[in-house]
Amino acid sequence: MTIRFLLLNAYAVGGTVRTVVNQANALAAAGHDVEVVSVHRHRAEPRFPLHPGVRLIPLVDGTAPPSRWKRPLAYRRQRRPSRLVPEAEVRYDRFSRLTDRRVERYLRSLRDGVLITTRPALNLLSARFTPSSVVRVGQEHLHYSHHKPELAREIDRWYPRLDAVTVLTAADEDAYRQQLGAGGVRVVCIPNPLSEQGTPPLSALDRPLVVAAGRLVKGKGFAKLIKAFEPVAQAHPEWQLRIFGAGPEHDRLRELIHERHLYNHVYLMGATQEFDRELAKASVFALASRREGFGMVLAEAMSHGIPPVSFDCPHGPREIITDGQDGLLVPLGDTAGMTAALTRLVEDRDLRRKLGGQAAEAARRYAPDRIRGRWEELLAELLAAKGKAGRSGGAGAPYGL
Amino acid sequence: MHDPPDRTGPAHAEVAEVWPRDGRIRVTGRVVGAAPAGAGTLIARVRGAPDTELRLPAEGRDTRFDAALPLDELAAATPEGERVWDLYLALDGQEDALRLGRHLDDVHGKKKIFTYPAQTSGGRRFEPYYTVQDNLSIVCDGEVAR
Repeated sequence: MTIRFLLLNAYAVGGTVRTVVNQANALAAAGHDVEVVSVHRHRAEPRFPLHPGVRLIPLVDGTAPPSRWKRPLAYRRQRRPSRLVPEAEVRYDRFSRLTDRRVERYLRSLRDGVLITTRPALNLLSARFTPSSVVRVGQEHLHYSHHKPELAREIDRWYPRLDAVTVLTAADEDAYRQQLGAGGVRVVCIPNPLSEQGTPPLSALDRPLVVAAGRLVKGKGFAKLIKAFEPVAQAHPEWQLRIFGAGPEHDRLRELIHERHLYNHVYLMGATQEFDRELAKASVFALASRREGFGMVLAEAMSHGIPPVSFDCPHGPREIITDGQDGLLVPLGDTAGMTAALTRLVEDRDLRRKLGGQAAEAARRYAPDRIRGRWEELLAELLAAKGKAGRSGGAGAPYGL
Repeated sequence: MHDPPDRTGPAHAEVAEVWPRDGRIRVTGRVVGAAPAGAGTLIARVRGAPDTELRLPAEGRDTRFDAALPLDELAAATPEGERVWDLYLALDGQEDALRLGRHLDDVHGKKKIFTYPAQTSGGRRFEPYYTVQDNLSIVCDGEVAR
């Protein structure tokens, strides 16, 4: 039995690619036959290394683009916009008539095993073209309400054909079940796994250091965090805030740090290859996002025994943190509340130890082997159900039916 | 902008905080690899113009030092054009001046990470920055390449 993952670009860098590669590698390491299929390829080797047992297959190879003279048809198709992908899909520009053709042909060629698709456009294509003899699972990394209405309509229409839709949070599970439940499709919540295998090194919690991390974009709320940290730095000048990540807000944030004379206490660290090591130095982790898909970085911090302080934003933090038990939740946007929560942890080493210890414990539910186990369980159930139904399938309905 | 390598050594003045505000640039830190001496002198030298020097008193206690460069004095002493001032600390009763820098923490690539606001004085712009060797300098009217 083969487990296949279909990704937009397995060679790219990004949250979805990283988690899918982690999943594929974990399943391959457990002895499953795993294939990763990438719609695009733009470099020779993937950035997140694959387990040697995983086969990687690109459908449209950008490192060897079709020649205008030798493959005129493919050449023309790659320049024409997709007819199969809804324009409301965020990555519509990455699809073309050429990807339409290659993806449809690939999907129709499948006969058995499992196909896991990893974003709305691919989930929709799988629902339409993958034979029903295949177990078809669509992963959603976004909350339902974040989709444009036109895309949501397509989702409502086609997702019921899938065998299961998997989401990252319980809130997503509710939302998708409400939308799709009547169609009979299974909606299952399986969070992303931590990237680190084994037991992550625990922070000693003795450095006066608060760490935050994420792409430097408005939604991550770093400006708010810097303002919330200002009174902490004034009351406890030995404490530092280090923000890891790069992005378009960098210069504006630096401006803010300069204006408020926080340049001796708040640092924009840039992106680092060794984030895990840097993270493990922290005594407190802070998250000030307006919203999160899941908030994986909270779970990563907790796995190092670092107590987190987070805005209670949709949709991840409140499912990852139990307030007062393994971290502190602050009402969304409450800067003074963020200051107070940071101050509590900065001033109370015993509280850091207590929450940190429980955080490490709580983060174990995201350990790669636990998450892999949940996937194996789900796929086994879906395959068994398929077996009972018999091979009644055949090809999915053609476009437009 | 590289600074001359022969001017840095194991003994140095480790910078803790830099405060470019209120018309001056104040620097605090501690002396490393040299005998504690208490008070001393903060020396600013214009790179490429060895005779141009500014000397200011530095307070000290044990290994700690605390000194400030008034911007108006700095502006009056800066020659024409884009200039860089390198900072040193001379301890009372000791021969060599120690370069100011930050070498003992765990942050790599300080030039991009430890950045400070610029101030203007006498129509000129002064911005403290860390060199690629993590030493502390002040650029006048120039851009720090980041």
